[in-house]
Order: sequence, then C-alpha cells, then structure tokens
Amino acid sequence: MAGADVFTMEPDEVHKSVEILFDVESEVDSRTATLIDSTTELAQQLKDSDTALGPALAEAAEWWQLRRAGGFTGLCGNTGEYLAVCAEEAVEVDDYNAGDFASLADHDRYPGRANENASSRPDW
Amino acid sequence: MEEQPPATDYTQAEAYEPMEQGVADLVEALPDFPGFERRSWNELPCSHGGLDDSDYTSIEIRYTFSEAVSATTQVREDYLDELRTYWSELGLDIHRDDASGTGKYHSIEARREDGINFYYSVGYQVGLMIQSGCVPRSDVSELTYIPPSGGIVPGSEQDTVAHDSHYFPEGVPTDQAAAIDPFATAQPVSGPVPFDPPASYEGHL
Amino acid sequence: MSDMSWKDLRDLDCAAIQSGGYAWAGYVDRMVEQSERLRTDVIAGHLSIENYESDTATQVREHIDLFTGRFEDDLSDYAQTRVRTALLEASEALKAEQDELLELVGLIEERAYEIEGDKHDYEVNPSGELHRSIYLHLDPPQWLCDRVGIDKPSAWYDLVGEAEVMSRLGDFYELAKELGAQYQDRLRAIMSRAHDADDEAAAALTAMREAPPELPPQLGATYDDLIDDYKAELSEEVAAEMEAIFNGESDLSPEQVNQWWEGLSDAEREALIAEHPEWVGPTDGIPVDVRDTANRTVLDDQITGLDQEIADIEQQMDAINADYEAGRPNDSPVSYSELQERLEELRQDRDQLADLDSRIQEPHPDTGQEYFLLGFGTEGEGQAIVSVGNPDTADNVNVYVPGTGADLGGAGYDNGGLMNRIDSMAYDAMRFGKGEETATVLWLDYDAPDGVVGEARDTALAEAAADDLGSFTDGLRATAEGEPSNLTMTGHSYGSTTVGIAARDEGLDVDNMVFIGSPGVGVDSAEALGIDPDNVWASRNPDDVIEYGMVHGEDPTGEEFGGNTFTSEATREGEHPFPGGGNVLLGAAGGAVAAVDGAVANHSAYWDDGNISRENMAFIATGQEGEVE
Repeated sequence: MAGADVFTMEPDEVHKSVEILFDVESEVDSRTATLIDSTTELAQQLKDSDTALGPALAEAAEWWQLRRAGGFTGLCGNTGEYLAVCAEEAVEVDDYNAGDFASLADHDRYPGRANENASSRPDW
Repeated sequence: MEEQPPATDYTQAEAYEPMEQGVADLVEALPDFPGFERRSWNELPCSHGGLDDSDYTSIEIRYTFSEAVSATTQVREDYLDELRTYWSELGLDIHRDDASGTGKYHSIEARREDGINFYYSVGYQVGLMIQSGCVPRSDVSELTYIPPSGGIVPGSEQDTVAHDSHYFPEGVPTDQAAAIDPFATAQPVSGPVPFDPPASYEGHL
Repeated sequence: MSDMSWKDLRDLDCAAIQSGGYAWAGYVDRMVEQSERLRTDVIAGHLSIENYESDTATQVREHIDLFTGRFEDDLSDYAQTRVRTALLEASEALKAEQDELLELVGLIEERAYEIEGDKHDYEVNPSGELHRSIYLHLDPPQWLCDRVGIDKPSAWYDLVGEAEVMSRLGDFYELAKELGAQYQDRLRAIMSRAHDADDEAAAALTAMREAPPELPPQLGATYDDLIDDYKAELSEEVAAEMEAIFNGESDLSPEQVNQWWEGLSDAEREALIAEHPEWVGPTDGIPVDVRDTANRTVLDDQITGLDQEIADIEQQMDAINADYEAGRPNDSPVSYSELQERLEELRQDRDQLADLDSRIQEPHPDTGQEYFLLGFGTEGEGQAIVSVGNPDTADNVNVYVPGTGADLGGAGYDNGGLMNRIDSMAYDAMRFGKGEETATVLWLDYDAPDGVVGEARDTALAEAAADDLGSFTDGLRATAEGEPSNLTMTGHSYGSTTVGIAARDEGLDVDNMVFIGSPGVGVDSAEALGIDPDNVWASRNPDDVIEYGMVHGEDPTGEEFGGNTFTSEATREGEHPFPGGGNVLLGAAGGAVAAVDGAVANHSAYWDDGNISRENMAFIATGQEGEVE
C-alpha cells in the first residue's frame, strides 16, 4: 500500500472530498430506499394480478438495494473514512501542514459511522 | 406439368440487343428528348411449379429521368400522349394505360410480338422499363455490353451496367468498336425532327 | 410464468407500471448526478492532484473512479436497461392488449357470449341467455337476425316471425358459433401476447441477478491483490455480457440491448466488433451499420475458412487416389465417397456465401443505396437478412418475408430471386417515394417450407419463426435514429403466414402489414393482428393457385377478414414461367394443363415486370395508401 512518500496536500480540500463522499453515500441510500418502497408496492399489485412480473420485480428491487446501490454506498463511505484517516497519518511526514490537518481530520467529525475504526483504516 | 419450357424468341444473351434497340427507336420518336439520368440492368426470377427456376430469368432494363426532369409536364403528360400515338402506329398492344388512385401517377405499357414489353412509368421519378419476359438464362460470360441510349454516355457513372461486377467483372470494353453497337446505322438526332403536316388530318385520326 | 386471467388483464393498472418505469428513470438521473459529483467535485476538484499529491492520493482517486464507474455501469445495465425499460415496455405492451381486450369483452358481453376455460386456452361460447333467446323464445337478438338475414320477430305473439326463426335454427346456430370462434381467436391472441410481454419482462429482471460482475474491492490490507483481479474481470465483463446477449441468456429485449450498447465506451464497442463480430452481427438492438461491419467480417472469415476446408478435403481425396493408383492400401478413416459428399456440401456453402458477398458489394444500381448485411448462415437451407438502404436512417422501411422455397441461394446472383425482388421493391419505392428514402429488407431468418405441399400446410415453421421476426422488428425500432420510420411488413405465400402468426403470438410493432398470395395468416380477422385493420392489406391475383390452398385460416383478401385489398394481375400464362405471354406457345390440346400450371406460376407473379401489384406495394410502403388501386 502506498502512502509513505508524500507530497503536497491542502487539508481543507481533502476534507471537503471526504464530506462529499459521505454526502453521496447518504443521498444514494435515501433515494434508493424511497424508490424501493414504491417499487415493492407496485410489485405487490402485480403479484395480486398473477403476473410473472410482480415477483420478479420485487426480487430485482431488493437485489438492487442490497447488492448494487448498497455496494456502491458502502464503497463511498469506507473510502471517505479511509481518505480521512490516511490523510491524517500522511501529515505525520509533512510538518508543514500537520497541525492543520490533524484538527480537521478528527474522527469526531464522523460520529456514529459503523466502521469508523474498522476496515477502512489504513493497515500499515 | 410439362418438363420442357415453351420455345422463346431469345435467350438472355440474345435479348439485350433487341431490347436496347427498342429504347433507341423510342427515344428517337420522342420530341425534344431531355435525356435520361441513369441506366441499369436487373433480373427478376421466373418460377416453375410454384418455385423459382434458376434456369430462367426475366430481364428488366431501366432508364430513369432525373428528379428535375421527372417534375416536368413534358415527361409526365406530353410523353404519355406521344407514346400512345407511337405504339399505336407500330401496331403494338397497349395493354395498360391507367392512373393511380388519386391520379397522381400514371403507367402505360405496350408489348411487341416478340414478347418484349415497354413500361413507361410516371411516378415521383419517371422511367422507362423494358422487359424481356422469361428467357433461358445465359452464362454471364456470354453477355455483351450494349451501349446505352437517351443521352447516357457509355461507361459513365450514369451507365451503371458498365460498373456492375456481376455482368462485366473485367469492366466494359474500352475499345467501343469491340462492343456491339446496335445503333451504328441510326441517324443522330440533334433536335426535333422536321415534320411536314398534311393539309388535312381527315382520315389520319 | 405469467398466469394472468383475462380479468386480471382487464383490471391491471398499466399506468402504475408505467409510473414505476418513470420512477426508475428519474432515480437513474438523480444517481448520475451523484456520480458526477464524485467525478467533478472530488476526483477533478477537491481531491485533484493540485490539492493532494502522493501515491496514496493517486490510488484513492483511481479507486473512486473505479467504483463510480461501476455504479454508472450498474445504473445503465440494471436500473435503466433492465428495470426501467422492462417496466415501460411491459406497460406499453400490456396497455395495448388491455385496450383491445376491453373492446373485445364489450362485444362479447353485449352479444351475450361468455368466456370459459383455462386462462391459457380460453373458449368463447354463446351464453345460456343467447341460447334461450334462440331456441326457447325463438327471439334471437337483432344483430344475429341481421347476420342470418331475417327480420327479428316483432313481439312474443309474432308467430310468423317465430316460425321463420324456427325454420332457420341451423343458420342461427352456425352463425352464432362462427362469431364465437372469431371472438375466441382474438381473445387467445390477446392473452398470448399479454402473457408473452409479462414473461419477457419478468425474464429480463430475473436474468439481471444471475452472475453480476463483482464490485471493486474495499481499500485495505488485501487491496493490491484484489484490484488486479477486479481489473481483469472488468475487461472480460463486456465480452461476457455480449456473449450472453448473443446466446439469448441475458433475456434483454432489443431495446434493452440497444441501451446497453449505447452505454459502452467507444473503445469497448470497437473491441467487441474486432474480437467478437460473430456475436455483434446477428444481434437485434445493435445499430444496423455496426451489424453490417461485423457480419461482413464474419462472412469473409467463413469464406476463407471454407476455402481451407475444401482444400484439405481435396488433398485427402488426392491422397486416396494416389494410393489407389499406386496399388497401396489406404488407411484414411473416411471413405472417398464420404469426402466427396462433404466436399459438395462445402462447395455449395462456399459458393452461396461468395455469391451473397458479391451481391452486397456495389450500391443498388438505381437507388444508389448501400446494402447492409444484418445476418446470414448456412444451416439447413441457409439464412440471409439483407437491407437495401439503412433502416436506421430511412423514412420508410419495408421488410419482405419470403415463403415456400426460399433459401440462401436466393440471396445471390445465380438463383437470386429474393434479392432481385427486394432490388425491385427498392427501385419501386424510389420511383414512388416522394423523395423520401425507403429501406427494403429481405428477412430470411427462418426455415421456409421446401415445397408447396407437406411443410407448407403446417404452421410449425411459421410458429418457430415468430419470436425471431418479432425480435428483428423490435430491433429495427430500437436502433432507428430520429422519428420512427413508417414500417411495413410484407409476407408472400407462406411468408404471410409467418408474419401473421408472429403478429398473433408475439405482436409486431409495425405500421402496415401486406399479405401477398397468402394461404391464410393464422388468424381469422385483421383485428387479431394487433394493428389497426385499416393498415392491413392483402392481394391475390385472379389466377393464383393459392386460392385453393387456404389452409391457415380465413382468406385475408376476403371481406370477412376485415382488412384492405389491392389489385394484382395474373401476368403468367401456360405451363411455364413466361410473364406477358408473348413468348408462350400454347397448343389447344394443352389448354387445361396450361391453365393449372399458369395458376401455379401466377403464385409468384406479384413482382413480375409491370404487374400493378408492384406499384401498389410501393404506395403502401411509402405511405401513399390513397394511390392504391
């Protein structure tokens, strides 16, 4: 894993990237949930009419939410955390901006995230 | 069902020449001929027992006017009258002379005794088609290039036959003398043919 | 499997299905905005190299690009191409069938018929009420009296009127039963198409979840190991999707295939055409010019391959000959006669393909249109789908489905009846086409009957072709650029049966249907074809033998069928194929035989020189129905 031979960094800018990643994660999750709710309702109507489409649509909607959109939002969130932590460690080798970034990349800025201290952390 | 087809006047290879000669004669008879835009040769299938029979083919030679010429009353209306007169005088059987549903288009056809059919079609584009009926198919190597009529330059882009790799894979003869020119003895027409009207038309009409 | 009853279809909320499709479409748009944020605001913005430069930064940017790309592909392949399109296509198809059902059920109820039986095989029979009005009360309804041609009894004491009813009970029974059979025919066609539309939409959604591509790995300890595998899979994914589409395993409709194709990058498309033209060429939903390029490559390869095979076999035969002449024992595992038989087959295939290849090289001599090769094959009697002009850009498209005896040989020069026909149709369309472009397509992608007896009397071959013809038509609609073309489907002889059965079973998204010399089209009324009966046309010349072979349903030129008719001439006489008759020498004694053979010959006379049917077909194909005679 790369990360040691750093560089240049604008901590504010990197931090804004992290926030966008988290925001996209939240926005996609929320809109997907709304879509799946309405689709499930439609699928039930179609099931009641003995269509083949009804059950297939219900399964497709669930699959989309869990596997594809859900997979994407998971990657968004984890990458956001990874980026925050990775950048925080990177500043240790860059005295110029170390102080600035440490104050911005505080874990407390992202309270309640399930994997705040888990898989997204750099492993070195 | 008989296995042998009836006798015909021509084979495919023999038919092109009298067909093209027919066009040359017709063009000569039409006043102020504006010139065709394009010539092509096509074939249509013949059938036996309900199935296409590859031993026979039906030739269709197509001469088409340009879109601009096709829009003129000369070719859309005047030539219909001219052709009625011309074919009647030749004693041909005009077996079709009718307009489409709204009268926008018109078709007139006449057939010679040797089976060659002339079909003048006034559509969006106006054209003359000359049709052989079914004739025994000839090997393409037997086919001879016949120069076109009606203002089309032999071998030009407008003479699409000359560029058809099926009929003439080696191209058409560059030495025109090598090609059969059925119109070698025809007189060139540079304009309207002088016409002395009779004193009276009584008995002519 | 679709298990909708007619009542389910009647009550189905098609608007809700359509709204569902639009909801997914709107969702996709919103999601694309989110992916754009990652690309623009993160990768190229706050996290750009100007703001953050290091190996780690590079890797994170690549990672975000990868999973954003994956999400965009998912949105295109699944949310858009699969779910949205499946819902919109299903709602449109089901709504069309529902409308027709409502009209039909209105008639059935108004005339006191009832629908009975299994939902996949409905029967429509006179109800008890209708029976009683005829047999018990001798007072049939007005419409039935009109059909029988007698006055309805004026009152219960109109004994004379009732006596007349009594005397015509057999007619009442037959006509009531006949109308019920027509209703049944139409109802079954509606439900068959509705079930198909439902099943196809379901299949597309189910197939979506089978073997989807992996997501990119999470950043972490094993990332470096996993990311190489992921990238390798990514490059194979498109090819695997194309293969699944080609094999029919993806269950994508042509419209969905088109969306998938349009969602690929230029590089992905070019790679597929170069590496797998055999999958690209035949696939409905891929643009016509792309299919043409791919098919021509495959055609060249096949001709080269056949040349090589022929040379190999000739070499083996020479070796056997040499052994024989030298008196040596021959150890070839294949006999000389087997090799000779194989050689003849290969030579025939080779010649037919070379002939087809030669036929599509030069533009049409009159219209100047290029030829487009949309499919071909040598299996069985051979297949060919060739268009004069590009259907994707033409104003009018006329698809010609040939009938009995059609084979690959007919698409070449030596026995080129089929190609000559579409050449003539293209020429006729230019002559009468108002200056618009008409693309004329030969569709020979089915096993046509070999002769006028046997297979031609069975609908099995037409039924087997229905799905492919429906798919081809949908593909033309999907790839069309600009306004939808005026699309005509022209079937000759058994080809008309094929068209009618495809319309009945699959639904054909066409504007006009034209049936020439038809032995019946698999339905008894134009209304069962799924398009406005005013756009259904049929013609039979007065001396076409097919008049005596109406084996596939009601005569489409008959008044009962309910479509339009146009004039065709019997241009052939005598026992052989001589249109015009000028070349025909008929002996008086041969008259009877000649008449029969003339009728057989006239079955194929519709494209003869000067036959008015050619003009009429051109008028329909170019949207000038008012000119038809």
